[in-house]
Amino acid sequence: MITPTLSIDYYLLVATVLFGIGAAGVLIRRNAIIVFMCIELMLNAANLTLVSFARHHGDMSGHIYVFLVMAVAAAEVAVGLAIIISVFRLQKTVNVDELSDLHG
Amino acid sequence: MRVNLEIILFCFFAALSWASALGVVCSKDPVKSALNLVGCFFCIACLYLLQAAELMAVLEVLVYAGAIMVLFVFVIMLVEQRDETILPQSTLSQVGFFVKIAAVLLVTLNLCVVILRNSFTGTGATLPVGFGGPQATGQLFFSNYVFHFELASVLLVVAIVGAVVISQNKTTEDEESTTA
Repeated sequence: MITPTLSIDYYLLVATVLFGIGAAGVLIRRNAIIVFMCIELMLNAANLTLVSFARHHGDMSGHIYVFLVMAVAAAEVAVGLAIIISVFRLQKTVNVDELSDLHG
Repeated sequence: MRVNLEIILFCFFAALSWASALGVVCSKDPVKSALNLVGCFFCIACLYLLQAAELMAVLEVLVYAGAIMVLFVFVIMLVEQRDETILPQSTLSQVGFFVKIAAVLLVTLNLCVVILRNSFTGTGATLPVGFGGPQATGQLFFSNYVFHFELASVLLVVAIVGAVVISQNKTTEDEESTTA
């Protein structure tokens, strides 16, 4: 195993920027599928911080939560993409600006 | 700080993950976005490896880059794409849009500053033997976190059933009316 020399803040910086890019993507993209991908990106950034803190404290509980986040992400993607498909079947579009039926 | 293999690998994968994350957001073709996202997941898996989280790195590639991205690509195939301008003119003219983007960037920058100011000195705890391996993870899962583990399995079952129900074709009544 490589003896670590980098402190945790570099990894946290990477995770922060990844989260920011994902959040910006959710805000500026109008394609529902790409919005979903950006949400995955943000979940991964959170996972990276969990792994970093697990490494920093020498405590493996963070890895458990990474695993649980992966399970939640898989469930979210399965249901979310099913919703996208059924919405596309009804509305013939996945542009989130045009999907305003629940807008009231 | 000595320049060694770890720092070189870290810089390489960090830069590559940022680049492919930007590729996800900026490419017009959803397939290119998906491929960029796979690249990003690989880079994140390598960053996990650098932090001695071997099992999580393997799972990242298997679950995210494997299973989830295949699902994404299937949906991209099923859903007909229209040309999408990344920044539509109607949205660009709205002030609220810029406020949102500015807020995101501000929060990101603030977090960076906070992180770098209260920087965690030192290189962390010394790791026990087998840290991040399958055996240690499994022992944790079946001792302290057994409830979480079972809950995750229930969640996945519910999600599978939900996905099947939601993505089903029209209801049986419609089928009967079409056949009759």
